[in-house]
Amino acid sequence: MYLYDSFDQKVVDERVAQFREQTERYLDGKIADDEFLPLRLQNGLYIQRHAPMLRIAIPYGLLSSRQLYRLADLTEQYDKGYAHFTTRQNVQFNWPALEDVPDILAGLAEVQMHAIQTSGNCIRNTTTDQFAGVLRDEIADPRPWCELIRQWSTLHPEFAFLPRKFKIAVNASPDSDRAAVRFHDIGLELVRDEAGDIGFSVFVGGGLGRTPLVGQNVRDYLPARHLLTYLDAILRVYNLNGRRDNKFKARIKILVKALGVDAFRDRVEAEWAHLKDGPGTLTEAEIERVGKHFIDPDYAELSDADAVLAEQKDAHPGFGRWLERNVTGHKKPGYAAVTLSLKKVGYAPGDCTSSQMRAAAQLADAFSLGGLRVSHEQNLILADVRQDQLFELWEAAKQHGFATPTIGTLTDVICCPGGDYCALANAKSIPIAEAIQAQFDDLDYLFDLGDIDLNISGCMNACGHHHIGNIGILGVDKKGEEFYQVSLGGDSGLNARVGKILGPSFKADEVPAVVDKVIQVYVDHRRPDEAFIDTVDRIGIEPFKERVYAKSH
Amino acid sequence: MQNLIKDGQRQDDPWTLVEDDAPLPAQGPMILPLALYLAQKAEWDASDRDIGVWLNDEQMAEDVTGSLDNLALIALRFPKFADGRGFSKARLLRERYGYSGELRAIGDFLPDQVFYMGRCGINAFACRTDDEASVALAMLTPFSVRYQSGTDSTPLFERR
Repeated sequence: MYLYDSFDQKVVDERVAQFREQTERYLDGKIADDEFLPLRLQNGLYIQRHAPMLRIAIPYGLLSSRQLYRLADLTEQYDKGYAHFTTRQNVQFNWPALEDVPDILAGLAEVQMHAIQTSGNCIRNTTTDQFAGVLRDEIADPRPWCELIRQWSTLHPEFAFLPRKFKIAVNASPDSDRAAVRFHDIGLELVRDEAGDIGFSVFVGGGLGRTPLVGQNVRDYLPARHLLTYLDAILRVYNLNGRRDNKFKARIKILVKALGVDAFRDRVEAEWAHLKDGPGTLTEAEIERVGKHFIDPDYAELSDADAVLAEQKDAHPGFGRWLERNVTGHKKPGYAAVTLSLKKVGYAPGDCTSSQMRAAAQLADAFSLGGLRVSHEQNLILADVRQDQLFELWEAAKQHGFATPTIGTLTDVICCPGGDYCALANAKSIPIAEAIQAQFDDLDYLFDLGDIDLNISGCMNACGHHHIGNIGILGVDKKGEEFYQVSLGGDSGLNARVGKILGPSFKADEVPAVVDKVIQVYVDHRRPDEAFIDTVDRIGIEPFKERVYAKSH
Repeated sequence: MQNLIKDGQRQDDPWTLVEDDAPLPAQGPMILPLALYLAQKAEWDASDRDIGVWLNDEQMAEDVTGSLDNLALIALRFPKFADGRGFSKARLLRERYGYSGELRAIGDFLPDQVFYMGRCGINAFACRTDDEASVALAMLTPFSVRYQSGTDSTPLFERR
């Protein structure tokens, strides 16, 4: 992963000093609440329902064991001994005291971490595929480009007070899109031109929230060296023209929609004509410098361990299930990527205790060259595990509650913190996730159902990405009571689209039964090997509607 | 009261800011509303007085590019500190249109914003209060590293 040099370290150290001074001024009553707001938000600090919440950046989801150990220490020293991994590959502390935040940030800076621009109307953490760098099919490793974007966006002087927040995601796999790039303000897809040179296909104006929209293509091929000047051009057009009169219409997607993608593209290209080849044009040397941090580790020369794994599977059916759901192929023979599940029934999705963090860090050191990733599905990934050590890892993961073998299934729920923690939420989301996990506790049945994304958000802001869940659940407020709206057919991948709302919303205790009926319709209609999303596509939502809203006799 | 910081120092302010529909001062340098200036541009350009203009939030850099040589000062009014359009306008005026006179931030901005403003080419800050001018002065350069290019530097990667 990327290691800071003295420049990078200085930035985070100076940021800590700046925020310490700002916090002191605020506590002295010298900054008004509303004016401290953007200063604290740009350091990840929200004021929440019970206490402040601190969102810490995990750039494009990459974490070292050393950093995870530090996070564990900090949650014990300054919080309640656990943290929450988010749908944007970040991590949140739910109970820090405002006056401690400068010290927390200082503790993070010591391990090359920060909370810069994790909130506020600025450029946020760039995200990518959790399997970046170990996938067989990727065009090139997206992580160096994410790091270049991270540095470009960090303390960008022109774009710290945008109309609204701004999120960029990068995908490098032509066959899948685990980064949901078409649902970001800017989505970048790595592509090669006919000469084999790397570039980007650029999508703009995707997003969830109140007005879910799929991003539109503004450029088929942007040569890689122009990446930053092109981003500057898009951001400048947005900064000058995006709406500032209504925060619900302030995202770039609304501007793209209002102008139409062609007119928007014309403006960007006109702006870019001035910036192209100017300062900010990436040099070969810089691309190489950053790229060097992401070269392959010293992999052993191995071959795939099929025979051994087959034997172990036969002897331990539980291992077989885990292998099937939680283990992913790797570009190097004899290696695999393993997902440590944070979806154990009875625990909030994405939550992780300090002892679990230490356990995961230990596992990373023992089995995966000391590295971890955070996925937007809110799990942890060990990306470089030897296949001949998978069994040992499985046994260790079980002990720490990481081996729930349900990755990609109905109960691998994506879920925001919801009304239990978040001041914005209309409704609780964690208890809904738990109720669904409890309802579908038969593993054989879950595996038979196969891949189903179920996403839950506690409000319109859609942190739980409910629009793009194959099954989406949205908490809504009806005269002070919590209700849940269900949608079907959302897809975050290459066939990006927003789910369709099934009909009137349900009470919390009805939701598991509703999901159960939806699943029954799928089971009744599916063709052999047809995934849930494909059945929804083929038969439409009517049969689901009929079953769910049928009067009981 | 000395709320003005210019070129890194507190300074007395010789300029009078003329609000929309306000009477003009009898003498001395003045900062006119852009519309008022443009309505009688030839006259103002011929005048012996130092003339500057201020742009409201809706007025863009392009609205003033025909007059850059005649204006000793351009002020960008921040209607609310959260409105970041002024940052882009400042860069356009400096980097694209080559404006070399005084570029001044006025209105509702925070002393904590002056570092970014300075990086976008704003070299004078009419702070809201005397106290804030002190803070702004202390906060002019909280960072010694600049990843991106600005009016004050090339991108860091060129020096790595």
